[in-house]
Amino acid sequence: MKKQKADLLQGTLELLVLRLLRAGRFNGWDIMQRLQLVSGEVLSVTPGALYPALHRLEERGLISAVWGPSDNNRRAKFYELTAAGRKQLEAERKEWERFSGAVALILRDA
Amino acid sequence: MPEEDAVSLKRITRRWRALFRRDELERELNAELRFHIEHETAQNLRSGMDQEEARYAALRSFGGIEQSKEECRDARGVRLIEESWQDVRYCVRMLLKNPAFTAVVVLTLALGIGANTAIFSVLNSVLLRPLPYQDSDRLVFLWSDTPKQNTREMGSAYANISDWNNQNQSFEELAFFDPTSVTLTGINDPEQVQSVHASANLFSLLGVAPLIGRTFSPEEEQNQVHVVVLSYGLWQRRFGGSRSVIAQTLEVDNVKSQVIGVMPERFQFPGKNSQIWEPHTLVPDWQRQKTQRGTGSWRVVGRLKPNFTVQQAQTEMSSIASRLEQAFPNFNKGLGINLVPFQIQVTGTNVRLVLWMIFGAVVLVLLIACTNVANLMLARGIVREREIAIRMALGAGRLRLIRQLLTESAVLSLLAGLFGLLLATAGIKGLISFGPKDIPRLDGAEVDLRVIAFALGVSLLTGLLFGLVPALKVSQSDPGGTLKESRSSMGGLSGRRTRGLLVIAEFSLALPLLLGAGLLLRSFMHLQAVDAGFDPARVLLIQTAPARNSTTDQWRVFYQQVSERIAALPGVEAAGLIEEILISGNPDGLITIEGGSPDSSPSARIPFRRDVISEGLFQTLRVPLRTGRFFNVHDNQGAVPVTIINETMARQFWPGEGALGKRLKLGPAQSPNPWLTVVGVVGDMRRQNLERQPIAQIFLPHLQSPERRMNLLIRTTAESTQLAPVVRDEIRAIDKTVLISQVSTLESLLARTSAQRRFQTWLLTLFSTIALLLAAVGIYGLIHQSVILRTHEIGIRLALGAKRRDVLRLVVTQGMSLAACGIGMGLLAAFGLTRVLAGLLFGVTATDPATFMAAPLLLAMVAFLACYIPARRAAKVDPMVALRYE
Repeated sequence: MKKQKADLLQGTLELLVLRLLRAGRFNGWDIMQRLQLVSGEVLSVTPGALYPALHRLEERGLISAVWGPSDNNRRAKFYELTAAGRKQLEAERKEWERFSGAVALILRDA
Repeated sequence: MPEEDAVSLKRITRRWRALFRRDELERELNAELRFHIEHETAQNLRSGMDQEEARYAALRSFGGIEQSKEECRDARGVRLIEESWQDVRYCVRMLLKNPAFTAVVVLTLALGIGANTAIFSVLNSVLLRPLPYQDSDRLVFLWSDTPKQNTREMGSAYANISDWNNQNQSFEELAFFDPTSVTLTGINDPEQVQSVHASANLFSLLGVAPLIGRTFSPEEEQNQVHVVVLSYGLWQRRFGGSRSVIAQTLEVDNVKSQVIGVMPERFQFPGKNSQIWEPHTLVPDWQRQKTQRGTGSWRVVGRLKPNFTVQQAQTEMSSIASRLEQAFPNFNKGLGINLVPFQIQVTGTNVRLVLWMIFGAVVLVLLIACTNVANLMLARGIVREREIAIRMALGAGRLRLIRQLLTESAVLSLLAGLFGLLLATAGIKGLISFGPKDIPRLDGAEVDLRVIAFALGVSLLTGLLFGLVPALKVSQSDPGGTLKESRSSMGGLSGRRTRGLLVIAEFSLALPLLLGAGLLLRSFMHLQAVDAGFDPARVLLIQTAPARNSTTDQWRVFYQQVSERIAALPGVEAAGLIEEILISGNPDGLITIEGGSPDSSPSARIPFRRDVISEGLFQTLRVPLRTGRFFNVHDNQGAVPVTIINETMARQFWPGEGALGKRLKLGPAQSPNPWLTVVGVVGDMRRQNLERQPIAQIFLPHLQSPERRMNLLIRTTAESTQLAPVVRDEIRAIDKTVLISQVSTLESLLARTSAQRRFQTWLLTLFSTIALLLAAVGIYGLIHQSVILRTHEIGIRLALGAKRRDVLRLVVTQGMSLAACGIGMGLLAAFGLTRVLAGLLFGVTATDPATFMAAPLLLAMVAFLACYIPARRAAKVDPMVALRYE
């Protein structure tokens, strides 16, 4: 398999996707819209990066996909969290909090 | 956890689809991305762009679509498999484009793999497959032996066996048996079969239950009840496999015997031709045998107690033997007990050695084949260098390239393995039909699962072996350099050095094979030159036996008539009778030589064979009379008991003085046997097989000690077998009831004794010839290619004034120095390796100077020839053409 580039970004992107999917079932385009909404200009995510992330999460069994009708009645691929994904999200959220807390602590004294 | 199971199940289905429903996944991926872009376009339209602009913006904002797709595919986790599949398809295409290369590689390897597989299947059947007896590794044969005379495996006497049985702690129990020849009578065509007189516990000791019925009980044994257990084969043949056989009787040597059981098909004890088993008490002279000591006719097999080793048991049995020697010095003097594990007994140490040697030989052949193919691959690597350089320049990693090249070797080797397996199947058939019949279980060789696994393993290993060196070598090359230069770097120094090393390896592997074959061939020639002591040409051999209830007087008359009337037949030069012409096993016994007084007559246990013969025997076999006379009609019942002995015997007991007129007795001094006066000494006959020194032989006139079963030997004036029916009719005319069997020629009988040597010599010669050819092809290929690569250089040399002779010498020297190196290393290895052969040689030592001169010389000559052909081509180079050549 190809070497994964920008690990931090990729890991973050996957975490964000998991977080978004906690709210329900979305197709790729929806997720993209929401990502832009929440991350704004801070994280620039292209669809070209999103779809591989979705496929990787699916392969890892953290999300699952089904084909269904979209709001304009076209067939689209919808993703939702699996139980494993939910667990993973919780674990990563905690990890992130611990990490960012530590960084915040260090930076406050700076 | 069911949840996790579900996840992994999903993953498996995804993987499955990724591999086998690739198109479906691709369609889905495209649909998903298209959906995104259309949505994006639609949104852009809504925000006021025109159609084209909207679509373009959507595509641009997506980022690299193809790249993204590739990453999505990566996510499927089957990249490795997919790429390997690509490699396989690519390499099959490449191989199909180079049919000559593919054919040469596949054939070379298939030859090696096929030979290995065929020999392994024999090894598997003869040595590796467990015997069809329960815990056969705890079964041991016990033999009487006389270490001083170096005879190791002799039958034992009953009284000794019962003492062994009572005194030992090592064995759960001992069983004993004696295979003899009996006649199934009471039918139109009396049939001679092997009957095994056995102790009742033999079957339970071996752990084999009868297929139907039962085996005999100790009571039946005690009371000498005539019961018989049939082999599966006889049951099928004589009783059509009917279950009602148990109620029926079988007539053995004119005595009715009740059939009580049938053994399963796999029970072939002690051999394939064992047809019936009878209580041991039914042997004709049981009353006399009961108290017999010394050596006897019984073979003993024991089952070791758990956790007892053969070594422990041997120590204990040896001490029992020495106790018995002290208690019964007259009979047991010098007698020990020799333990041989069952498996080794069945195969024989010699056969083991032969098979491992041949297996070693085919492994060497395979290694040479591998080296050759590696060389070919390297040579092709030069051709493919640019392709590989381009791949590297385009970003293919080194590991990826190695993997691709190894895939290629794997495909080649598996293809070769497949062909090899086909070759092996044919080879096994050949081995079974041409192999010596006395290698036990050779006919069980077949392609079973283990053999297939072996072939597969060898193929893959082979692929790795011949693929790795070239793969590493090729992937090392520097793409920049290769693409810039038109000259090949592989053809350069380092590539040539690798290939040179391979050629050296090939020669050093081939030499031990050639030497081994040479030594065996020399042994074989020595054997051909051995004088058997008799002339087997055109001698017909027929075994006869008058009915069992006939008297000794009838035997005398019958055999006297037979020898006279057969000798008088037209086409018959001479005819004679002897009990057995060839000696099997290691016969021995006590012999007493008459001394000055009855008390001072010394007895000695020596290896010897006693045979009853007719007057005409020695003339028929053309055995020279050294001194004294042959037997004649006057050596009959009324006359003084006489004997003729062979030279070995005369030398052994009366060295330096005449044996004529001396008297000897079979058995100990107090035995009631008559004193026999030596009236003649004849030349030695090698009757065990040609390789063994003749043992002492004592001949008695049949008129004085008649035997029922005799072999009639007839020297004919023409092709001997044509006379067989005439002789048969003549014997029938004398006595209708006589049993006639085993019609063969003496030459074919002798050939059988050297069949194994013929077999091993032939095989090793075959394999070493293959090795020689492969080595020749290897060095030829290298020199040939090097000449082509150096055409430019040779052209310059010639243009600068080098003589053609110089060029010739240059090229030949290059090749010969490699060959010499290989031969030198091979010689070093061979000095160690041929020592293993020592046990298989006859008349030559393991370091026979003539062979050690001839084999390297032969190899060097072949190498010279292989170098000379391309060298001549080099010398013919036209400098003008060569300089323009690029």
